Amino acid sequence: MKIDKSLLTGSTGMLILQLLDEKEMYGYEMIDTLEKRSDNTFTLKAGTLYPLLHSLERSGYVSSREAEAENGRIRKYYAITESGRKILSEKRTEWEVFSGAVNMVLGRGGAV
Amino acid sequence: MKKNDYINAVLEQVRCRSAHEPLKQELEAHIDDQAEAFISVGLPESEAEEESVKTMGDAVETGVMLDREHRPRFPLSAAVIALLLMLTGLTARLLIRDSFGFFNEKSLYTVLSIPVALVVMTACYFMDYTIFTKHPKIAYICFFCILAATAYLRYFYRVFDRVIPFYNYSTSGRFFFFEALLLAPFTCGFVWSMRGKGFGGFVLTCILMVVPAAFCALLTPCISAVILIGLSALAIMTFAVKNNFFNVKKAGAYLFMYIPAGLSFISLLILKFGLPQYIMTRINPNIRFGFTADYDGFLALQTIVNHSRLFGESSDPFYLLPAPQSDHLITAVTIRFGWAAGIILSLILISLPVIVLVKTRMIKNVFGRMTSFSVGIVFLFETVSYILANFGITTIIESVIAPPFMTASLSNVVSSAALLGIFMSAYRTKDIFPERKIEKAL
Repeated sequence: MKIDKSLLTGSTGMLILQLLDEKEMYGYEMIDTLEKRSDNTFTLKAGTLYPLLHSLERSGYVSSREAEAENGRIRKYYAITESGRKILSEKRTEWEVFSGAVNMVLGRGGAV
Repeated sequence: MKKNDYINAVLEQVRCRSAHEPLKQELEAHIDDQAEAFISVGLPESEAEEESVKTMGDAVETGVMLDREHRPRFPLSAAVIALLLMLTGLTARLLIRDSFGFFNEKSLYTVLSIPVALVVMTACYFMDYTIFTKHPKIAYICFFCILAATAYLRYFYRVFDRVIPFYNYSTSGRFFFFEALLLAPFTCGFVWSMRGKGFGGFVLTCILMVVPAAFCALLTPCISAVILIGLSALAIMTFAVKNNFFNVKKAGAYLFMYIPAGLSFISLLILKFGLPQYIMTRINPNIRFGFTADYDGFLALQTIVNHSRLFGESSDPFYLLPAPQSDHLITAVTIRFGWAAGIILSLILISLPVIVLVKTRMIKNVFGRMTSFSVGIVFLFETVSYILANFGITTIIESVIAPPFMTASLSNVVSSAALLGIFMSAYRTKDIFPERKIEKAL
């Protein structure tokens, strides 16, 4: 099923932080993991991901380092920082309240 | 669209040139990863690259978003404080002029120093600070030799006195040569080039770091100058060890640096307080601790400072101040306007190194962080020692070193402006990681 992209706007940062909370990743790996885990619902373009990652890094929510992969390719790996974890926790709570409210309006039960 | 065409189209939108290389590498790696994934599911190699580019999204849109993230950063607060310090210094001198009765030819340098400093600071801001990693060993040695040559010309042949109008600093003693402050970024470049050289490299670097301090001790036998040069080298080495530059055991490395540094400092104090005057005279007749750093000067300052009021002019004999226009500007302001004015002036002064050191933490690149840290340490020592000396706290053990910007010395203002400009250059690209570019330069 096709999903309206605007529904994803504003939540992409949270999803990226969630992935990085589990392990350090490089850009392609994030897109790939997000796609597989959402059953191809979230197909993020690289052109959207990198500006977002750089913005998160500038805000101090993620840090990065360059490392050489097995195939000799230099990749930039991103990791979540302490302030990133804090903001992720806030975003999660915000999302739970929001989705709970949407469900209530749609008549699908109470808040999560 | 081919990979390079896509990347070029993205980069055309990004105005910050320093960001191009790291962005190019990141996008290139992503396209290659995607192409590899396509090939692994059976897509022919010839089509894989173009298909990968299609998954990237719109090049111009991406470029515009990246441009927003990679705009050159400007540490406005540091620049404003620097300007404020220069203007405050000039105003303070003008205001105390009536009380102290002189505003001499040297004051011309104070006025002239402001536009010169702004030009130097702007030039250094736009300069790529990674220039200090290009031929760092030769650059460090050459700069030190130039420094030594100019110092000799100044002190022993008094060339500057003959060439520069009203220049008569060297006639009244050997003052600290402020161009030496610029040794800090060259030292950073040198230390950076010694990365991964192991224990041998670490020891060699430590030995070479001692040379400028020892040279300064011989040429300008003023304890503050020696401490300033030695301390900035020690801070840079501490940063290098903490960031594992030499791959040596940290605890051992710290002991190796700090024990000799501590012993040297204690020796200086013993020379000052522990030995009878006749022995000191025999050891080195040139050793002196600045013309205010004697017991009489200390007592005079203590009296002046203790008798000052919170607001308004003190009735104390201000003529005891040896250099109200430069070495004791805060003291002079305290006498003329009270403690409150002296404290405000001190707070403005201390805010510069604090801002530099706080902003240093935001710089992602290790070399940029090290260079900015060295600038912050130099400013911090100059400022703290100046404030303490002006309130009569440390005058007895050290002579006065003028603080950054708020001084009558043209060479100090210009050197400080260059240092601040170098910090601003590192801050400008604080989110960019030009490590591999720096590696290539070595």
